[in-house]
Amino acid sequence: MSKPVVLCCGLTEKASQAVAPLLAGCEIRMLDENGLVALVEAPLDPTPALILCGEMLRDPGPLEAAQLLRSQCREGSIYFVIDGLPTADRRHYIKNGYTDAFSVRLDQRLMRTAVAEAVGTALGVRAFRPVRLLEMEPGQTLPFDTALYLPGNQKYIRLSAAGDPLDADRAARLKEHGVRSLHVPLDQIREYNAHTASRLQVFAGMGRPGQPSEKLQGAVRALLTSVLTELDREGTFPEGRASLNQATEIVKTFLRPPGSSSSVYERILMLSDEGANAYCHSSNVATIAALIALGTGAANPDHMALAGLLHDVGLAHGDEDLEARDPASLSLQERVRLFQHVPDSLEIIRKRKILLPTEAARAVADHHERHDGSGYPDSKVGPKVSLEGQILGIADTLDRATAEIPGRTRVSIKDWIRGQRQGALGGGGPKAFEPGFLKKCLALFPKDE
Amino acid sequence: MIDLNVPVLVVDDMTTMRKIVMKACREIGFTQISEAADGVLAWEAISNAASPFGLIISDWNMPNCTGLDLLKRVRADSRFGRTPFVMVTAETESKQVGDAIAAGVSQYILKPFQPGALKDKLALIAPK
Repeated sequence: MSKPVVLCCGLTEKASQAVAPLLAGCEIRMLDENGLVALVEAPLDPTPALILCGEMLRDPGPLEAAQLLRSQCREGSIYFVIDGLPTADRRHYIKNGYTDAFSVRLDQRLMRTAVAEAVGTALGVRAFRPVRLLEMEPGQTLPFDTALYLPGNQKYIRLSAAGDPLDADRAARLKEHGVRSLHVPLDQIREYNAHTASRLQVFAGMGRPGQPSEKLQGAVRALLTSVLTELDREGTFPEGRASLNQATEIVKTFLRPPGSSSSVYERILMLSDEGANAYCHSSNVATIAALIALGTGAANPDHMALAGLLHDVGLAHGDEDLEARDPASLSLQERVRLFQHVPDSLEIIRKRKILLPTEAARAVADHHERHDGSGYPDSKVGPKVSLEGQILGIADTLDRATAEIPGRTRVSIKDWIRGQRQGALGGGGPKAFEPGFLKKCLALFPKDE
Repeated sequence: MIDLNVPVLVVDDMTTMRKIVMKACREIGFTQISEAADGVLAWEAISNAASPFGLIISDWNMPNCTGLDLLKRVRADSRFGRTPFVMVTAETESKQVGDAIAAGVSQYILKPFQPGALKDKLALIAPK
């Protein structure tokens, strides 16, 4: 069997050194700029298992190279690997044809996983993803294999096979293992997502309207904990990002099980994810808001997911960073634009004839209103701020405060939760959210240790 | 489908992208293919052409004059009001797609694209 080919073009020495150990067993071919241009006339042959491009590309530049390579290699993995900090948003690289973009300094772990997955697939070696299993009962069968990762010798050992009924001992052993040690093969990750969503369906059926069962609350807490804990681990933010994407898939399957007709939510999610597995604020907010709605029983998760996807459509193109900035640093004009995005969002939704349930429209309208009257656009106070608006507000605040934004120090999830807990329980100070409701929501988040 | 004998103008500031689009045009069967590196040069070529272009394929993001500005100029001139204009771009924002439609774009192709995609889109354009 011939070795899988990895094509490298324009990588810096440092980037080459970082990827070299991951390419064992592959034939590495270097392609210079002339070679790239020649691809216009002579397509890639054989199709490489992986293409790695770097910042040394000048003519064609990195984006032009991505467009050229992608036109020749529709499905393959093409990664942009740079030494330092990215000069553009990751989505910009993805939009131009890269599968993903990594900074050797920031995204070491994510890059290793992605490259190992591409190389592993080409070599016929199975790649794995870390997961968390929701509560299981003896006798239950899992439609996917599970494996334990042994960091000492960097190996996976199988714990259970797809279709095996779980005896009490094995169910207990699986329960013991958290997201960092339990893994599912990459080729069975859809089965894992569908299984997790179906467990949520079962738990959701156990409660009463407005009163979720303890099992459901526990399951939501487990999912949020696995996502948020991963997001918070030092140096592993990208893994958390992947974990959040995973949670989005689970929520999507929960809201619309396979075979059912597609919803507005699903269609919008598909649009927002088009061509990229991108880190996306709207889909993160949709996922977190749907999970909070599910775990508290305070709103319909479907409507909250929809509201999450649409809540910022009123932000004009290029204005997205206004929300991320310190309000005190905004000019009067910028403040007006920021305040206007809420009514603008609702107007766009109305004009596009999207049938938004009242609950979801209320959430969009109120997501920047605050319990103490400090919000906008209408400075609503106390009970005038809807529960839906508060759920969306909590999800929005969490994702924005903890996002990685160049030039700003990211708040850790732990600090964000601690700050919110103090706000909810402490007396005196301003309260962004109704304390009793916020406390209920925070009960779904990882415990402060 | 557009008549394959009409002159075609390919506009893109990226040399390799122009080459890719021109190659796709040749594969489709067009024989008279010209190129321009930005919107200003393209407008010069369009307005001074002895034989008017029967198809313009333009990138969106270009220095000096964007693809959208070029489209607006072309549509504002009664001589080229009905010339098929295809926008090739990486921009997927619905607002931008909407702007291009409002300005009178004939078809919209997302970059990076496969050569077959151009042929499929051109098949949807009614002959003048």
